[in-house]
This record gives sequence, C-alpha cells and structure tokens, in this order.
Amino acid sequence: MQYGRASSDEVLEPAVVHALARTMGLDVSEEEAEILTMLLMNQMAAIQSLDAFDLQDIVPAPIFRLEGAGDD
Amino acid sequence: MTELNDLSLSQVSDMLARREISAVELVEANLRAIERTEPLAHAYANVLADEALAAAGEADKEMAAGNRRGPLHGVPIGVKDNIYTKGIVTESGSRVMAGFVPDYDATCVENLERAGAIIIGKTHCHEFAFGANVPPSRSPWNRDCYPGGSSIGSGVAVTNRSSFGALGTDTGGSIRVPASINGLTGMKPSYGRVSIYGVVPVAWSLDHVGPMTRTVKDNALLLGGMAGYDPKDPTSANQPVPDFCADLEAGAAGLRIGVERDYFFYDGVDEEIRASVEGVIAEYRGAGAEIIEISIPELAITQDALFTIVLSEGSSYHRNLIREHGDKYDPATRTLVQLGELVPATHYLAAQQARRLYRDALNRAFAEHRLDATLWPTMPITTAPLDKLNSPREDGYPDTPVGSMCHHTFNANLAGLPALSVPCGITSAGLPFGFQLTGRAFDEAMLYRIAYAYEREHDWHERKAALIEGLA
Repeated sequence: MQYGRASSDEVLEPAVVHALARTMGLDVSEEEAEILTMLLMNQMAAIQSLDAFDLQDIVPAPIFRLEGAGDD
Repeated sequence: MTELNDLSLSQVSDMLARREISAVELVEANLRAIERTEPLAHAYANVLADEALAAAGEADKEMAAGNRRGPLHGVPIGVKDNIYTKGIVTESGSRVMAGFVPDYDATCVENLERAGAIIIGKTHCHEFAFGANVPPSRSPWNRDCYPGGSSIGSGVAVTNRSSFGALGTDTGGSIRVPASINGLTGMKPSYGRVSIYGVVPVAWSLDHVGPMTRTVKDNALLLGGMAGYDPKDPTSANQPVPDFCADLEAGAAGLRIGVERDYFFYDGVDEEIRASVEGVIAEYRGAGAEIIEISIPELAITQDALFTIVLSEGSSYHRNLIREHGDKYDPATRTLVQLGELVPATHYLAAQQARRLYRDALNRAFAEHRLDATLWPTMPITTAPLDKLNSPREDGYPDTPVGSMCHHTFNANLAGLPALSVPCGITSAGLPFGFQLTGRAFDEAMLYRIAYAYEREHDWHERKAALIEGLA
C-alpha cells in the first residue's frame, strides 16, 4: 500500500458504494449502486486528467464574482 | 403578405414604435403559431394566453398614450421554466416542483417586464436543467432528432416562430447548443452580467441566463432588457450596461480574432461544419479582420473540471430536496445528484484550481495577442436522432453524440467570458449549425458587432425549419 494519485485501476465494489451512500442518507438501491460505482470510477479518471497539470500552488477559482478579464 | 411571426423581434419592435401593429396582434400571431406547432414540437410547458393578451392590451394603452418604455415594449417572449415567474407555475421540468408557484419574479424577468416585454409562456427544460432526461420537445428541423438542451423549449419556440425571442440558461452550453442545433443566435453573457436571482441553480459558479433569438440584433436588444447589477444576487457584477446595438454596423475590419485548432478543430468535428467554419474565418479575413492562430493546451482539462464542479455544486443544491422527494426525480437525474455527494471536497477544489489554470491561460491569450474575440465551431456535430443520443456516433468517431455536444461550450462557462453562437450553415441532411465567438469579460457588444458583420452577408437566420415550411 502506498499513496498515489486518484486511481481508476483499483476495483471499487458496488457494495462499498452502496453502504457509503446509505450511510450518507441516500436511498440508493443495489441496482443504482452498480451504476453509481461505474460513474464514480469515471469521476476518479476525470481527476486523474486534471493531475496532468501542476495545480499545487493555484488558489481555487473564486465562485462568486467576475469583475474583469484576469481579475478576481 | 408577410406573416407577423416571420418578422424578427427588432422588426416588430420598430413597427410597434411606428404604431403599425399592436402588441395584441403580436400575441395573437404567436398564439396562432403555438396552436399550429405545439402538437408537433412541444416547446411550451405552459402557455399564458390570457395573461399575455391582458399584458399586451395594457402595453398598447401605454404606447397609445405616448409612453413607450423601449424596444421590448409589447414584444412577446418565452421564458425557460427554471426561471421564477411570480404567480405562474414554475416546475423546472421536474415532478419535484410540480405545481410550484413562485411568489416573486426572477430579476431577469422583472427587468424584462419593466422594459415592457410580454411573457407568452414557460418553455420546457431538462429536469432542473441538468440534461439527464429528454423533455417532450422535438426538433422543428427533423422531429426524429434532439433539438438541444437544456434550454430545449426556448430553442424550439423561437425556431417555430411562436415567440420572438426566449430566455435560456447555460451552465455548460445550454443556450449555445440548442441555438446551434436550431440555427438561432444564442448568447451566454459574462458571468454576473445577468442576475441569476430567482433561477433554479444547476451550479452557482457556472450558471448564466441569456437570450435566444433569430437575429443578432434581436439578441442584443433582449440582453439589454435583462442585464444589470442586482444586489439580491451575490454573483452579480456591478458593471454598466451599454447599448449592445451601438456598434452593430461597425464591421470586422481591423479586429483581431483568435483561432485555436488542436482542441476546437480536432478530428471529431463533422466535416461539413469544419469546412463551413473555415469559410467563416476566411470571410472575416477578407473583411479586414486579422486572424491569429493561438494555442491553449489547458483546454484539455475543461470538460473534466466542469463536470466535477457541476456534480458537486448541483448535488449541494439538491441535498435536502433529494432526501425529501427522491422518488419524484427522473432516475437519470437522481443518479447524477447522488454521484455528486460522493465526489470528495478535495476533487471539487482541484477542479476549481484547474478552472483557474484554464481561465488564466485563456485571458493570457487574449492579452498577449490583443484579441477582440476567438472563433470556433459551437459544436463538433449537428445533433442526433433521439434514440441514438447515447449510441456510438454515426460518423464513426469514437464518442457518443451526448459526449460530443458540449465539447466546445464548457470552456466559456469555466472562464466566465461571454460566448455567442451564430448560425452559419445547414448540412446536406438539413440540420443547422453555428460558429461560436468568445469575447473579453463584459464585452458582449464586440461579439454582437463581429457576428452582425457576418449575418448581414448571409441569410441563415431567415431559413425556416422543415416543420414550419410543412405547415405553410
């Protein structure tokens, strides 16, 4: 076991997603958990693509205002 | 005699000003179009015939007394059903909001009503504008095909000429995509230009409200009527609202237009669209604009960044609703809302970091090359049959139509910059498409100027959809 980037190589069990979702208060059926698991793996892959760029020192984009090009 | 519905918003506005027609006549004309086209294409969730006729009567009285409020006074428009309208059912395309009647108007609606515009109906949208389900609306160009969303009914209403313009909302392309698919002009303004107060959110940091119309001038007039600072909206920008029509005739000579090819002209772009947009670029060059090739490698992360933000912010809005009304959601929407709750906060913030990286890169390109706008296709494809939206693309490119549709539009939502889709062709299969201009923050007027320089040389905006031709 070691730390790494978000990975879509690891197998994510639908039962785990099902349990997590239920714990969070979501009324997810076992069928829905299968679909959610697949989508969650895709989402992990999406984050991997962001990691292709160095984001380390970037302050996240502001949410609530665009005053002008290049300003926050 | 020209049918009133065939005239543009700006034309009927001029006729109203000259007292050659009345607002009641316009509403009656739109209602006739609605009667003819709704059974076939379903643009409206709710037609407000009585209310619109009453408002038109009042507008006529005011104008007869010499109190014309401006170019929108007496003009009927459609409003997407995720935008609050006081006293009028607003369901946002969802059973979750069935029968909901807001007790206030969205600020954009309030502004338009103050300008004298008349709401003729609420237009269909995908459930909560998420885009996961497909409403009953059908393409007037080919009823087997998807007419684009999530402002699906607004696009169909304007195409059917059952309204002179309509409001849409755009979180990842939901104004520009149906504009391109229907051969309309659609503007996603700068973030903060139009208040989102009273608009059911998809993702607060990406949501925009904007106009969908048949012509560039119509679009400029409608944006002028809805824009402006709103203290009730924390995302609203305190920027002056110019006359968006002031420079329409100024032409494109001397302007600097950037073209990025690696991302926007990738091999997934339909060949007819590619050739047509290359032709548009050549025309601008011929008109005296300087075309500048630019490179923005950060475009590669826009789709993943946007989707992560939409999931996270969208699920945040629905956090209580889904626990109280989960059974009323369309299953596809419910899955997306649930998925968003499982996205870690660190991933959401990574997406916001990526967003800044992209936004800074785009702004840098504008600054370094002193660009007035960028230009590329609005979409890589036209549309697809409704039953094949999630099937492999018919041209063999390894993607689905749904996967391709917003490929070119996400980036402008991330950057917050204004983006305008302008019709520029119809394929051999009879399906329209457009090109997209992106501009500097709060410089929508420049996009209208550049777009009008093209529009005045072409008649794409006058073409009628097959459904309209068939009913003529």
